[in-house]
This record gives sequence, structure tokens and C-alpha cells, in this order.
Amino acid sequence: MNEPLWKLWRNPILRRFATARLRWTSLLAWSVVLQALAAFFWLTIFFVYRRQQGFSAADSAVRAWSSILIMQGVLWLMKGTFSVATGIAREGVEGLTEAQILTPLSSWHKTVGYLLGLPILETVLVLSLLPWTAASVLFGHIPAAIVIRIHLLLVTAALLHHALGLVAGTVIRQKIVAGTVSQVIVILLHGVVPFFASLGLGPLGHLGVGSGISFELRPLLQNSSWRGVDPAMIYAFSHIRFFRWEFTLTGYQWSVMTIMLGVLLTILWRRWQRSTAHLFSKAMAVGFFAWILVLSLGEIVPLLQDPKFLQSRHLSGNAGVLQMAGASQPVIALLWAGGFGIVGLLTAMLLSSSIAPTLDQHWRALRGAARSARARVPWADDARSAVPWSIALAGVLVAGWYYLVRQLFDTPLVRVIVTPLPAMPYLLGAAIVVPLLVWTILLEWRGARFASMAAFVVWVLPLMVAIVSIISGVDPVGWPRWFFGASGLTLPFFALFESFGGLGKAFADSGKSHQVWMVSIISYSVLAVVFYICLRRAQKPEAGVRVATLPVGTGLPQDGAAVAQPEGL
Amino acid sequence: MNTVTAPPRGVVVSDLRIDYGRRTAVHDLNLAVEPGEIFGLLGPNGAGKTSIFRVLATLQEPVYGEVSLGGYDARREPESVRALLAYMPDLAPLPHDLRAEEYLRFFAQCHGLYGKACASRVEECLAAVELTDRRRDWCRQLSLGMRQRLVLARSLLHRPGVLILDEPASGMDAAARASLRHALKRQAAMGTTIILSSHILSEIQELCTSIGLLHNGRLVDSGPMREVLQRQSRRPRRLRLRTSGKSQPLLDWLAAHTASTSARPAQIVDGEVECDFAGNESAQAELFAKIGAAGLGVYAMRELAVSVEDVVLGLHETPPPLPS
Repeated sequence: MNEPLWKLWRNPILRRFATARLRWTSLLAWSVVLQALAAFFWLTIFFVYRRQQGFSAADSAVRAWSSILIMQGVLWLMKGTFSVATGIAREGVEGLTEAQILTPLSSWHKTVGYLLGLPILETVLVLSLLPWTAASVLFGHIPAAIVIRIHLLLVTAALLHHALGLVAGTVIRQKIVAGTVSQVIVILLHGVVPFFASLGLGPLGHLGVGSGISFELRPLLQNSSWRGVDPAMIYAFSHIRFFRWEFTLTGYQWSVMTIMLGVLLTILWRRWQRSTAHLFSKAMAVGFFAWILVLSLGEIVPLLQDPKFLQSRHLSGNAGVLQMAGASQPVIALLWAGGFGIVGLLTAMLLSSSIAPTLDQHWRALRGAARSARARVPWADDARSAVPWSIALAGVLVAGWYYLVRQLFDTPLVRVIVTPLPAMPYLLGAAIVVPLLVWTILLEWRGARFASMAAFVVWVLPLMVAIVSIISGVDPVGWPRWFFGASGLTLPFFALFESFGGLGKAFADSGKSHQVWMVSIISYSVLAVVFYICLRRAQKPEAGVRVATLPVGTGLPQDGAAVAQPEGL
Repeated sequence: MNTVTAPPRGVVVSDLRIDYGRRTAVHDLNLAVEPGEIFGLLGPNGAGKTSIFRVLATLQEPVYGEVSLGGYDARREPESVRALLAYMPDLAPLPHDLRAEEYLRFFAQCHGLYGKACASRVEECLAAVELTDRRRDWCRQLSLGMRQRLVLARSLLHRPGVLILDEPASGMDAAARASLRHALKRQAAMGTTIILSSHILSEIQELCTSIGLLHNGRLVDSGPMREVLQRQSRRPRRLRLRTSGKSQPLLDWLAAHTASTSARPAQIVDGEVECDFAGNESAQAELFAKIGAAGLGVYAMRELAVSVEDVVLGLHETPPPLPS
């Protein structure tokens, strides 16, 4: 019925955008400006290095090529992603998304059509810069393999960014907000996330394209700082150690981007299949989280073998602050591991938000199931409660986090100083499961807006108060510790303190830390149980009963002032 | 071309329920529309018409219930249903960056029409809605009525077996509405099942072969237009009698014989006497004979038709139906 997916030129959505966005007048205007800029940058850089610096023509051409690559990156990754996010949001506003749902095109055709069609102007503009690439390759004697690898990375990154833009525009549906969010994501991926790689965000750092391309380019630069550098060091920087294996940076980065692209395309496909579908299916969310964790751990664990890791540049931010406070190396390790737990907890909360149904969805599914032959809503259905799945998410995180903490405290330097309690897995488990359950249950019971507000007031605000009070000179072991303890987000820290018998007296007296931990974990556990009871009561189908007042004068018996009108079942 | 020939089963809805949160928008709806029928779904604002249309068009999932279009189950075979149906929403927006012709070509290609087949079908549809001379205009430059016509043209592109139109005449002038009527009647004559809603009730009366009355999410009545109107009329049949002489004696005679003739005189309009008549057809013949015997000079009697407007306005006055 549909044309084969690979026949892109027969994809109507792609053709529609080719018609709408590649009109001669705008294309001509863009081309003139772009070619002028490309000529300016390429020639300027080439002659600056060739004439002013005395570099060889080949080296100057390679440097000039980098300016073309930057232009292509900005056009494709930034402007292209913005066009995609705003374009799909606009399609939704203009009702074309719905009209598109009604066409017999397959969901994959629609996904691919929008993915390639919305940024088609940017794609054509990037292609129009290829003559400058050819000039660079010719003058710079650049090996074809490097050109291919760099372009493979660039194309994959562009597809990935555009898919991110599509998801943003599909979810947000407000053109300007969607465009802004897409740009923030691009900036985060390229400018912020790489700095937090040591806290488990390493895999996200590979979604940016900068590091891979720069490592591919550097060996070409004969006059660069890489000249004369020990080949072993170059090898170390251009390779990724993943648990016990090693991969080239480019290959690894390409693999991560490709898998992430697959995840995003699946999300988009689900949305085309059913416009009300959650971004992730329940199992997909758990699988995705496990993949992120494995990638993080795979990159971090080999770093722990380095005895200087806790003082190295990987932790420079944390260490700088902690050394000022006179913290010992085990304390730095403890806080770093706690930070990993918190980032993991926040990620799990985000994923559980994407799979938690509203009460309305739950009721509708129950009523539908009651009318059909099925007695229950299918276990992995979007409308089914996310509580068991959030336990699964927590289980994955606890396993990964526990593995990391064991690895960290098995490192030679730390092992001799501290020994964890045998109860550590349970303490870590409680620190993750309890807050995640509280969040998920509250989300399902009262909705995203209420849960977010509650989380801000109860979890974030006390942290802010505690931080301000400590900075103003109040003893952290005094009342601020209760404010720290009131936040569910700090439970991973307290669990770690508890696991090591109150390690880190620089920050908290062991007995007082124990008090805070006990009060906090018990309170949140009780809260989780109470919330769960309330949720179960609200989820019952009869909770969706509306009381309909009979109109006066209908001529029908008015035995009561009102009748209960059962909605289903 | 991806056109799917509709099995001769029209549209069948059974036991359909649509909820929004705790509010039930449509209660256990049962409906059958035959192929070639033009079915008007009528009801006040908020009655649930658009919700039903969206479910029929596979854009929304019901809580439960079965929907079959052309013999295909909307839930299990949405792709087949989508190939068969066309849905024109109320005030459908158009893309800002396409011309009228390009817009139609895009959707024709989505339905598998390329090359000459695409070009000729686009021409046909533009001609059907009388927009041939505006083909090069940007969609954003078209007037409201023209936009509606363009969306109608889009709906006709793949020769749908089922056509669902939500307020299709919105913003159209009289000529455009006449053109719409002709186009729809032509489609129905080709066997297309047409379901539509409109607040222009005269259009409905002129166009539809059958109607359904929706009130507070419940189907109050449905069937052939005349039967539904008769059933739902809130007053007895109204007869108008024309006399060769003065009307007042006839009015007085009817007032004196109300019990025996079942005719209650109402008023004199344009020299004719109107009366509400509660009897059947034989009683009506008997009444005519009695008046003749009384020598009142009545030479013509006709029944005033109940209008759709009367019935829909009656719905506004009706208290919401009780749960079944």
C-alpha cells in the first residue's frame, strides 16, 4: 500500500517540505549569504595560517576546513533542530498532524518524512558547503577515511538532534517554547553535559559531536600541540575504555548516537501510532534506563583504577569545593557516589513521569476492560499504574549504584580507610525506592502539576534554606541537617553515610546523621504507604461516579434529591 | 491508488461511550447509517457531536464500544478505515506555506496518487469545489469559505467511502453552500456514506435523508428525516384549511366541534385557518367530509411540515435524559 520506506523521493511529507521550503527565492538568498560567509571564513583562515603563521598549505587547508565544519554544525544541529521543533509544533497547531494521522501512510513513513523534511532547507545549505570541503580535502591531503568518519558522525548527530527537536515539538506544541527548548537541549549536550560526565552523564556527553570530530581532526594538524606528544597519550584520548574493553572514540560515539536515535524514532513512531501514547512504553523506559546506567558505569568504572581519580580533572569541580572545606579523600568519594545516586534518582523520576498514567486514563481503561472480555487492563498498557515499574526502575538504579559504590570503595586508596556495613545494599535500596515511590504515587494520584509543586516545596526548598544557612555561618551539624534530611533528594547521601557508619565527620556527626536518616526514611516510607492507599481508593472505578441532579418537572419519581449515575461497569 | 472499496455496510456504531475525566460525553450510542445515505447528526452545543465524529475518524479512542466503517473495525483496522474515510473538521486550519494546488497534491500523494493521476484528480477536486481559478493562491490568503471548500476538496481526493463533515458550511456564502449541497448529493449518489453536522438547520433539512438527535451525549432519536421529525414534534400535526369565503365561521365551527373532530382551532394566518389535529389519516378524511357537509366552503387542506429547527429548539427545552 505504501511506497517502500527507502524510496525517500516518493515520501509525500518529504516532497511537501521540499516544495514549501526550497522555493527558489529563499534558497537563492540563503545561498548567496552562506557562500559569501563560507568564502570569507575559509579564505581568511587559510591565508592567516599560510601567510601570517607560515604553516604549510595542507595544514592551513585543514584549519580552514574546521570553519566549514563549524558552519555546517551550526546550520544543521542548531538551526535545523530549531526548524524541526518549531515546524512540528506548528503542524500540530495548524491541524495538519491530525490530517496526517488520517492518511494511510505508515507511521514510519510519517516519522521519516518529518525527520528529513522539516530540516530540508538546512540540509541543502549544508550540502552547498561541500565544495569548500572538497577544496580542503584537496589542498589538505586529507585521507578519505577521516572525511567519511567525520561526515558519518555529523550526519548521525544531525539526525539525532532533529529527532530530539521532533520529540520536543511533539510534546510541547507551542512553537516558540518548543524551539527554545530544542536550542537549550543542543547547548546542554555540547556545552554543559560533558562537564558532568563523572556524575553518570558521560553517555549524554557523546550525543554532542564536538569531541569526536576534534579527535579526528587533530592528527591532521601537523603544527598543532599534538605534534611530538606521546602516541600513547593520543591513543588514550582517542579511545574510550568501557569496563574491560576499549573502543575508538568515533566508533563508540557513533554507536551511542545511533542507539539514542533508535530510541527517539521509536518514541515518534509510538506517537504516530497513537497520539495519546506515553513517550516510553513501560518496558522501554526500564530498558532505556538500564542502557544509560550500563553506559555510565562502563565509562566510570575504568577511571576508578586511576589512584589519582578523586583528585583528577574529572572531579575538579567537586574536589575544589570540598578541599576548601577540608574534606578527606574518602569523603570526596562518598559525596561523589552520593551525587551519582541523586542524578540516577532524578533520571528515574523523569522516566517514571513519562510512564505514569493519569487517574482519567486509568478509569477509562478499567471501564473499557470491564465491558470487554478482558477482566483487567494489560500489564504493560499505558493506562496501567507505573508503581510496579518504578520499583523496577529503582531496582536497576540500586543495582548499578551499589556496583559503583563497591567498585569505588574497593579501590586501593579508599579500601584501607573505610569498610561498608553489610546492610549497605538495603540502605541504598531504601534511599532510592522510597523517594521514587513517593514521587510516582503522588504523580498518579494528584497529577504532574501538583506533584511537581509538592516536590519543589518539600524537596527543593529545604535544601535551599539549609545551603543558605550553612553559607551564612550556621553549623551544618545543627538544625540545617534536619532541613537536608527533610528533602527526599538527599536520602542517597544519608544512606551512604549510614552505610559507612557515619563517615565524614567533617560534615555531620555520625549519631546526628543517623537520627536524620532514621526520621527521614521512616517518614517517607509512611508517606508512601498513605499515598498508596489514597491512590488505590482514587483508582477504583466507582471513584469516577458523578452525581447527577434530576431536573424538576421531568415527571419522574423524585425519591431522592440526587441519583448516583454510575459511569461504566 | 489507495482507495478502498467500501463493503456495503456503511457506518455502524454500537454501545459507544466517550468520557472526558469524570464527565461522560457520549452514553452508549447505537447508530447505523446505510451506504448512500446523508445522515445529519443534530444537537445543541456540547451534545457530543464532535466527539463522535473524532471517534469515527479514528482520532480519538472511546472508553468502549464498537465502530465499524465500511465493514472495517475502527479499533482493530484503523489503517483500512483511514484509507476509506475522509474527515473534515470544523474550521479546518490550512498550512501557511503551501498554495491551494500544492496542498491538494500533498494529500493526493499521501493517498498514493502520483504523476498524471495526481494532477488530474487535483484538477477534478478543485473544479468540484469551484476553486480552479484560485489554485495558485496561498492557502493563507483564501477566505474562510474558500478554505472550507479547499478542505472539502482534500476530503474528496481519494474518493472516500465514508465522508464525515463537522460543520462543513461554516463561513460559506449561499452560492458556496449550494455548490456544497450538489457535491455531497453527487457523492451520496455514488454510494458514499455521509455523516454531517451543521448549525444551519435549513441545510440539514434540504440535504439529509436521515437524522439523529443528540442531547447530552445520548441519541434521543434517529431514522429517516420525516419519521424522526414526526415523532419528535412537540405539538400535534398542524393543518391549514383554505375557504372560499370568510375564515371566521370555520374557526368558530371548529371551536364548537373540537371534541368530535379532534381538531383544535389555533389561528387565522393569511386568510387560512390553522388547527392542531390529533387524529389519524382516516379521521382527517372524516374531518374534511364534516366540514364539507357543514357548507363552510373549504376547498383545500394541507399539513404544515415540522421543521428540523422546531425539533432542535425543542431539544434545548428538553430536560437531559435519564441514565438508562
